[in-house]
Amino acid sequence: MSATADATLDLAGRHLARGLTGNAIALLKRVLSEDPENALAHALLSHALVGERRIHAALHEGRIAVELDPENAFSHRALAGAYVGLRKFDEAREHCQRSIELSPEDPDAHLELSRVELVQGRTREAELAAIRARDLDPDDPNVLAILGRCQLSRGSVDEAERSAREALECSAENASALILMGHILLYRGEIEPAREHAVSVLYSAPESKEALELLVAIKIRTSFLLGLWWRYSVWTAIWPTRAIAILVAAFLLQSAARIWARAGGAPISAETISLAWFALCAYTWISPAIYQRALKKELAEVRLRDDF
Amino acid sequence: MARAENYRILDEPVPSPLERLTVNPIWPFFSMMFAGAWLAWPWFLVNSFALGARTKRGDIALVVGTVLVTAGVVAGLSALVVSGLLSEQFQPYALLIPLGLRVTLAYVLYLRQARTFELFEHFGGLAKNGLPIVFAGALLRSLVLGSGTGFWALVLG
Repeated sequence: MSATADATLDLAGRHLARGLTGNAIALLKRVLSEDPENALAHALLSHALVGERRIHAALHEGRIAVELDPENAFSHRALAGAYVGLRKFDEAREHCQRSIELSPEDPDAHLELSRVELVQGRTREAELAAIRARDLDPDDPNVLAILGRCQLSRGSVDEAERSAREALECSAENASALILMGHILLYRGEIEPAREHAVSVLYSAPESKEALELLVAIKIRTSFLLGLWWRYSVWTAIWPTRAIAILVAAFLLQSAARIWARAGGAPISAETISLAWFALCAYTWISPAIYQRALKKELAEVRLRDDF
Repeated sequence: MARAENYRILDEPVPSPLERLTVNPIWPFFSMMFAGAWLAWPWFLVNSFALGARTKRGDIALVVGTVLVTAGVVAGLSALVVSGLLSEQFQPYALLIPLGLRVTLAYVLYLRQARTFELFEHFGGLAKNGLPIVFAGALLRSLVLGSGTGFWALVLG
C-alpha cells in the first residue's frame, strides 16, 4: 500500500471517528479507485456507509473486505456493523466472535460485540463484553462509555454515572462519554444540562449522530406531538412491511367506514371520517418539516454555559 | 457536489439519459391518489429509469404483477356480480380490494425509490417539480377513466 493511500486511509479513519462520514466516503472512494483490492478501505467504507444508513451498500463493502482479507479482525467488525443495520444479529454476533478469535487482546473487538448485544437489548451479555474490553484497556473512554450505556440500559443510573465520569476524567471531550452523561441527565429529568451535553459534542463534531440522537430524545420528552411522530417514524423504519400493511389496512378501514356511513344515510359522518383521515395524512406529511425546523431552532438557540 | 469518482458504491444512482425527468417519488404517489394508477404506474417506471435505480427490474415486475392481479380480482368480482353472488349492498366494499392493491403498490414503489432519490439529491441531482403533472392528471382523470365503473377504470383508477 502506498504512503499516500496510508495517509488517506488514516485521514478517513479520523473523519469517521468525528462522525464526518461524507468526507470519509469521498476519501475512501479515491483510494479504491486506485486500489480496488484494498481490504482496509472496503472495511472503512462499510463502516462509513452504516453511519449514513446505506446498509445494503455497507453489507456489500463489508463482504468484499472479508473476502479480500478473511484474517483481518477489523474486516469482520465492519461486516458485523452492516449486519446490525439489517437487524441480522446472529450473523453480526458471528462476525464479532470471529473478530475476537483473530484479535483476542484487542478491546475494540470486545467493544463491537458489546454494541451488537446492546442493540438487541441483551444488556447482560453487552455488559460482560464491555467489562472484558475495559479489563484490556481500563483507560479507554469509549470502552467506559459503552459500559455506562449498558449500565444505564439495565437501570443502574448511579453506576452509569460513575462510568461516565471515569470516561470524562480520561478525556474531558470524549463524545461518547459526553453523550452518555447527557442521557443520564435526561433520565434524571435534567433537560437543559442534557441539551448542553449534546450541543457541546456538536460544537466539535457537527455531524455527530449520537449527539443528534440525544437531542431527539430530549425533543421526544418535551414535545408530545413531535415525540409521537418520531416514534411512528422509527417504527416504520424498523418494520417497513408491517408499517405498509397497517397503513393500507387503516386506509381501507376508513374507506369502508365512509361507505357504511353514506349507506346508512349519515353523509356528515362520512365527511368527518374523510377529514380525520386527511388530518392524519397531513400530520405525517408535515411533521418531518416541523421536526427539522424545531431541531434547527434547538441547535441555534442553545448556548453552553461559560462554566460547562 | 461533483459526480462520483471512478469507484462506484453499490447503491449510487447510475447516470441515466432520462435523468432530467427525475421527480421526487412522492409525486407519482400523489398522482395515484388524485389521478389514478393509469398515470402513477408509468410515471413510477419512468422515474425508476430516470433515477438510475438498481431496482428497475423489480419495479417493472411489481407493476406488471399488480396490474395482472388487480385485473384478475376485478374480473372475479364481475363474475360474482353477474352470477348474483355479490349483492349491490356489498359491491362498494368489494371494490376496496383492487383499491387496496393499488394503494399498497404505490406505497411500496414510493419507499423503494425514496432512498435512491435521497442519494440522487446527495450527489447533486436536480429533480423536477411533479405538481403540474399531478394537477393535469387530476383534471384528465374523468376523461381517461370515463364513468369509473368500467373494467379498466376499476383496474387503473
